Amino acid sequence: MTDELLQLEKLCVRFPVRRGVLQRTVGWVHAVDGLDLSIAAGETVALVGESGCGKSTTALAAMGIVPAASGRVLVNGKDLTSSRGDELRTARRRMQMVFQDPTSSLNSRMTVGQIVVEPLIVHELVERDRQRERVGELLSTVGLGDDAIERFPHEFSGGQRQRIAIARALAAEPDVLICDEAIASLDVSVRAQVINLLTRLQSELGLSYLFISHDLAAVRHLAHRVMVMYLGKMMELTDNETLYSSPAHPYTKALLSAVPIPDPDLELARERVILAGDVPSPVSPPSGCVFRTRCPIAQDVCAEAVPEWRNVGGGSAGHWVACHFAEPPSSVTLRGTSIESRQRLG
Amino acid sequence: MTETTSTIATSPGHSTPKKRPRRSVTLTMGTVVISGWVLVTLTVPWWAPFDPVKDQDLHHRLNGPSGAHWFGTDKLGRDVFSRVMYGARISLPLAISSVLLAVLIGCTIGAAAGFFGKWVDEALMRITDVTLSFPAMVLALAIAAALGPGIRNVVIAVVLVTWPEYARLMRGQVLSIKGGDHVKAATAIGCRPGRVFRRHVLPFCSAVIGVKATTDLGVVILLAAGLSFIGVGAVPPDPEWGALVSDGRTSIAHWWIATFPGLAILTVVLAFNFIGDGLRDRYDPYHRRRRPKKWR
Repeated sequence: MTDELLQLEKLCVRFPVRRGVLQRTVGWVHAVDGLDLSIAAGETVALVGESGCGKSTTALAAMGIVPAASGRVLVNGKDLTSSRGDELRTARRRMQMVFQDPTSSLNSRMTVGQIVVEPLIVHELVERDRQRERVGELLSTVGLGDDAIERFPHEFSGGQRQRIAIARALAAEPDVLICDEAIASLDVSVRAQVINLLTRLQSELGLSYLFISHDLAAVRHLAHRVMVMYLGKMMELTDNETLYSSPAHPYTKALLSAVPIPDPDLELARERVILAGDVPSPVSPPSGCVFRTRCPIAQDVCAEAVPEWRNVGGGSAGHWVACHFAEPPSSVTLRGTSIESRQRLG
Repeated sequence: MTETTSTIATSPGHSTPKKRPRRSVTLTMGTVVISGWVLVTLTVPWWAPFDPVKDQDLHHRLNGPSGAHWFGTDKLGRDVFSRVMYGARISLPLAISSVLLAVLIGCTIGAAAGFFGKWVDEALMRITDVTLSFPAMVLALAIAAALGPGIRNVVIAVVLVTWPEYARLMRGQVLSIKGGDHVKAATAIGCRPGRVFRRHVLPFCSAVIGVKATTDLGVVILLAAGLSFIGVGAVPPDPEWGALVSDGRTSIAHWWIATFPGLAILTVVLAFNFIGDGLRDRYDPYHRRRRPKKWR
């Protein structure tokens, strides 16, 4: 495809582990390890996985806030990882980010007006005398009144603050919005409103989303394609429908079986995949397949060979899996209908 | 003692946009006292009853407070009231300029260390450590002695001794704020590093630095006094407040000689602290509403 807005190619991010008096580097945390992902115009790609699997680091690396150890980040075909200074600032304007906690991502000493106008000023998008008008437009786009301009973020509720953060991101006129757990800190009713706002913005402005979440029900509602990550590595990537109806990777199956179903009978009847133990340390990941230490179907081969990232078919976007035992159309079906009923709540 | 009840009275909930200016009792008190002292420094020659240096009256030496000499006289029969009032012309500019310079130098160095990190941080912080490892008084003494007596040299000595504390404080503040989400967000929306620092890091440092600076005004006055006492600070007839206190500390019986300049130092230090406290409340939105009844 040529209309891809954001491409991550073999993206790796690592952090040094320092020890001792001299703070020598004794090892590396491979936070993100060889991630390949591309997002087309108007598409929503979700990134899911447990805490600490590198989802947020992927977002920060895509934004160029955390440096990539290797690999490339292409925005509209322009490589961000090789850009510096003003070139980088201009290139990543088309990609904006919404953070998890709006309380900490909004500068508490600035009024909402000052916060939302900042992208307009730094990128010289709107002349000075039209800025206030534009801020008003942006605020009404996210469903806030004009009177918000002179108030401070702490005077708003969590959901309203997240709307302010979204308005700020929109001010830069982005094509891609990276939502890093953008709904995780909101309560359920507000969460639904923000999800609806994001859906509306996509249809009105043609935005693409990289939607990072651990809320699988919300992901199912929003995403076109879903990538599952574990310990910084890609596990599975396919379209939304295929992933929820016939997941190929044992880790995905385990994640899906952890989504609660609001019907007690179904909840009791369904088969649960319970993972033993904790996520292994990313400083010394297991050999071969990183998931093998907790995998219910692990064999000897899993410790020896790193599973290939291969297409097992199904769906227009393909069905990519990193597992030795993934079969083309998976025989395991989960109760998709029950998850759907939960999604209406969230 | 000083609660800002006005903040509660003027904010009737979420519906009205907040008005920015706000009254604060501490801020008003501090400002009034400091304005008073500034007025004194500007106008003292026109109304002081005696000359602080030349009017010596050996017949009336060591007299207690009276109608003629409100604060009494010292061992040379000079009027303590006039000397204290004239002393403000030396001590206030000395303290303010020393602290301002120390804040400027210390914060620049600390901010550079915290914001750029890596080798810049290492280099600047090692210099800071070396300076901090000397006892302040000893180092100030050595510097002042090397430069010779005089008010200007006292300022230089005091600045060279006090800047590392600001550097340390500033670096810590910058480091803790730099990692916050709102700084990442500022970078993400495309702010240049300079703007990120000015708009998103610096405002969160000013409160702590401001409070320390106002407290340090007192410390600096005392440090300068110590230097004067040893003889490397203000030259003797100059009525510097620290020197005045030193004059009186040899004889407790003549309490007025040390007490009145001491009270002058007290009012200035307290007023600056009030201003620092009031400013912090005013510019910190979290402190503005639902401020609990605090003891002070």
